[in-house]
Amino acid sequence: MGKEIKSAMTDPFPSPTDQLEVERLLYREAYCLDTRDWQGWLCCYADDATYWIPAWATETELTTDPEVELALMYMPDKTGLDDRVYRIMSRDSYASTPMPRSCHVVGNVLVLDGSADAMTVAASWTVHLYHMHKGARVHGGRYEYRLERRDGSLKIAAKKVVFLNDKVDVPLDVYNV
Amino acid sequence: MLQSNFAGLIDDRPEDNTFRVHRRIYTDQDVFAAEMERIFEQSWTYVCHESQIPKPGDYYATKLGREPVLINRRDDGSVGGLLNACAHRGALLNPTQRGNARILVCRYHGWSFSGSDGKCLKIKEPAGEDPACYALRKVARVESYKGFVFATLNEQAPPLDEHLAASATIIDMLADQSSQGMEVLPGVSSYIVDGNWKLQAENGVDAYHVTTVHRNFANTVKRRDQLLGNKGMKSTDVGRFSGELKNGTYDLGQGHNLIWTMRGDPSSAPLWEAKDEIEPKVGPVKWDWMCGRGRNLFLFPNLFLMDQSSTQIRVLIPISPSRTEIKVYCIARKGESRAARVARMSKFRDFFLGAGLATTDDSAALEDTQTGAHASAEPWNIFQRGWDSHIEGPDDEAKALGLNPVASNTRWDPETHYVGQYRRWRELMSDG
Repeated sequence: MGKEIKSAMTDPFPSPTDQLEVERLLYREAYCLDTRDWQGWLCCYADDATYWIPAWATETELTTDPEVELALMYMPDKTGLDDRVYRIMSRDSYASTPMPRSCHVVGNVLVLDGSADAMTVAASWTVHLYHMHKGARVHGGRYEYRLERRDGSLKIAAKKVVFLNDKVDVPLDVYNV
Repeated sequence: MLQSNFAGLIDDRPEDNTFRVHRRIYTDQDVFAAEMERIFEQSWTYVCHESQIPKPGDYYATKLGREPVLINRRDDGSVGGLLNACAHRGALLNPTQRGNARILVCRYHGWSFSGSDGKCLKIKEPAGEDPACYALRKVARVESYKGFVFATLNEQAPPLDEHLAASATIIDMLADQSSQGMEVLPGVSSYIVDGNWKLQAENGVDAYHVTTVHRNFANTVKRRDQLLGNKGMKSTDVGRFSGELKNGTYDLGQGHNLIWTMRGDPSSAPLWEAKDEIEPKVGPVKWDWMCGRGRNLFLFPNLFLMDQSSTQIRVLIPISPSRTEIKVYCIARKGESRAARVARMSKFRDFFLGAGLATTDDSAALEDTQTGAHASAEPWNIFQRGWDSHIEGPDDEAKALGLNPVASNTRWDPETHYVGQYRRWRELMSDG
């Protein structure tokens, strides 16, 4: 990044109101995931939203092209998110029944660039999990968002999840990152 | 050396159509230690694909059983292997899982070794030691079959061809998909399953679970393909999940086996675009096997080559009786179109990953099987479906292909192909 953090006192963007709106959207998403409000979760996303968790290519580098390199998840459109919800709601997925309990904590919400209608945002995350057989675990990493205003409300247009772990304790799904 | 004989843990009575394995094989620490010693450190195991170590000095770090090794591209272009432990005090020699080092310098005391043949080149501030007296021990045997690299610490191991037995014909169906060769794509997904490695070995060639565990996957992708109007390569052929297409299994010898099913729509395979390039070279029968059928090949003890909706290398790395690391890579045709590559990768993510829509369900099922294996008051797991469709030697499909399996089954949901897998396990685990 290397950029100086813009001062809310002198710069019109992000204003304290912008910051609050961004945080509310990110917290809303986390709340929906933890309370299993799947429709509410989908509503956080724009209709053409992408969702991407790259795989690690080396010890220090992530894969960069989700279409032709390995990604842990990549949904090029919102149908992919809908698939996840369909699968969970079916109660027919072995790994998702019963679901691990989860608690997302989102912090360090930093608006990096853009305007009040289209912006890039970074945040840090941890998810505390409790799996019925495996017990308690913690996942963590970083989010990179592209947020855009659609019909007046801020929506997620793109989400990239950087997951710290190389070795994943299965199952990994949208509710535990 | 452990002296126990574990042969009694397999209840093998063909005369009674009975084949059962004792649940202790999944839970017992002594069994696991013997498996490391007698199977993973003595017989051939898969280590990596040649495309992962293309240049002299390239290395790939892995383990043979419990022993850390570096598989390397030597100066003469051949593939070799070195024990990954400094000849001095045993520190690992690589800072990364993969990399390039013509000279391996131990980061502890600075001894340096040839990355090609392991000879000690220099000893830091020598106090009378002569580098010529030291070297990294070579892995006894490292050989490649069409790009797939296998290794063993056992100098006396049989030739690789003998180990691969009839499975070579099936490996060819993946290896021969491009005139330019095959390549492993960037990125690895590694996941930990709380289950014994043999449960994963069973699951990958278990067709019987498909209509229960993967009903959900089939419904999810079918619904999406309908919503988006996906056709051809972009669609996922779910005909195989119904079990209504022609299918079967083979016991390929040496513990290797295969389950296969026709694809409902061969044009959904990313390979379809290469029909004109490949079919004339391999002939119509082999082409039908390559593109017209989905295949899960298990190579005892640690490798799956999956060619279903996408193409996967899946490596099993046992950690303990109840824990296994699974490493998965996407393998693809060099020179394929971007559209085919995108479709291949998309379908790979859908099914195969620890974050996918199917493998997660497999893993949960086999984790439950691991927990259930402690129910030892009734100690036997049963493998005896499908003796009515079992054929000793090749069936008609195999004869047409020129494949010579130990046994065939004309359906894919029986369990008769596990017999060879566990007889091989018993052979290696028995004394003498």
